[in-house]
Amino acid sequence: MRCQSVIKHLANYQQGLLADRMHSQIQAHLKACRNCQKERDKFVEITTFMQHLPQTPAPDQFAAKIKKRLGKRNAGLHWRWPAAYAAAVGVCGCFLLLTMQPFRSPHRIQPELMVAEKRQMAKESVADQGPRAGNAVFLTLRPKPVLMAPGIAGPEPAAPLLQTDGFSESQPGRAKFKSAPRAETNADTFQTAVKSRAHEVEDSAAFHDFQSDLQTIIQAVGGSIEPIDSHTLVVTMPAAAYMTFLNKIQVVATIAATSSARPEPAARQWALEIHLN
Amino acid sequence: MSRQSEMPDDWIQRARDGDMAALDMLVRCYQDRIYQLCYWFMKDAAEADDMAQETFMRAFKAMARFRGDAALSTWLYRIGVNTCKNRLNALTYRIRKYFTHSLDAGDAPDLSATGNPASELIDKERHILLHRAIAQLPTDKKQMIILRDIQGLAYDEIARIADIKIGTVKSRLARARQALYLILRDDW
Repeated sequence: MRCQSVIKHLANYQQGLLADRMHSQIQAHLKACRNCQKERDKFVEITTFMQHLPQTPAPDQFAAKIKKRLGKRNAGLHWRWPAAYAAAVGVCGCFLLLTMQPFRSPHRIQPELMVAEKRQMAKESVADQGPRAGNAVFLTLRPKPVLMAPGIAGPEPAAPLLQTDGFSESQPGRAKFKSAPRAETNADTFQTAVKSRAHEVEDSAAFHDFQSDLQTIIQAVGGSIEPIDSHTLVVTMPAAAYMTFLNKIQVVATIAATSSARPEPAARQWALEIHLN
Repeated sequence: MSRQSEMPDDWIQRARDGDMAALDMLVRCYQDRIYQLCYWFMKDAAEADDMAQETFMRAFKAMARFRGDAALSTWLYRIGVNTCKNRLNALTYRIRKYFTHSLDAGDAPDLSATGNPASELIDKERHILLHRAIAQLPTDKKQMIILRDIQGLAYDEIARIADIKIGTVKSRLARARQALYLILRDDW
């Protein structure tokens, strides 16, 4: 057997993949040929070098970078209740409308219960600059007609960009979650934490698009959405950015009470719908 | 090349449920293996970092679909391999590759274990030679070398990752090692 042929089949020979006859021929040649022995040894050395390479560790802060990316992407991978985002935005809108009089527009909705909520908050707090820790509000999603001005019904709202299961005109979707405003909220920053215990909504491409758009818009106004865990979301934005935010997202907030008697804060329910421009 | 441990099953379930602590643990448990995989697939350390991050992000996205019929590491390797292959096959990447260098001496990891500077220098140079040689291999051969000889995976695991038969793994590996040897033969 010639050296060229031995070298050509070195790998198969070393791995025992050759037929017995050829294996024996190469073996015999290697015993006699110093040059081919050197080539065989080099082949083995290369393979052994690879197999004994020290572990190449991940860079420092690799896990932290992943965590940051997860936060930036809104962790929508495991945030299964799209209406909770809508409600988070709605909560922002509701509380800011309650607390920031200069931003109120006569063309926006003036839901009765938002006024009632503000009265309640005014009673409970001297510096009523925003939501306070300890308030718990249960929200229910239910589409309602839009009022463009007091007492005047406006055009039917455009079809939502995203409709979740059960979230339709004929069968409004329902979801319950708590909004627990944070103690550190001040006049310059609005922040609220939203916890969801809603039933799962089937993941979809439209939902991811919705999350992505919402995240982009909130970040464009200098705000952030940070998932704390799979059921808790913190929405933060500068209070002054709220009007800019409204220009980008048409927020339709409709409020409905669950009973005529004003319920306790823990039992109040709100309706919310969001359209993206 | 010892096999490393897997994340406990209850933590895997929590990760599937989207628990952030479990996802964080998943990254910490597998980051070295996935990064090393990407390091040997890609042109340089920065690209390896990108691909490793992308691998985990894709894994998180698909986490709910992980059925547990294979080890989590196998599943992650598969995502990592596909992520790297997609990047390598991208036209823009292929064009860029012709005009840029691969691993430089500064990128090679610290191989100082012998305490012998001369030996360490040779090892470092060989590391760079090896990285450049592997970069020249076609993707299917590259995959075999990385998974078997560098990552130390068993044939059956490689077969699951690559979705081929064990016999095919062995024959491809032999061809890969042969090709690598021919590239390195004169410089080794």
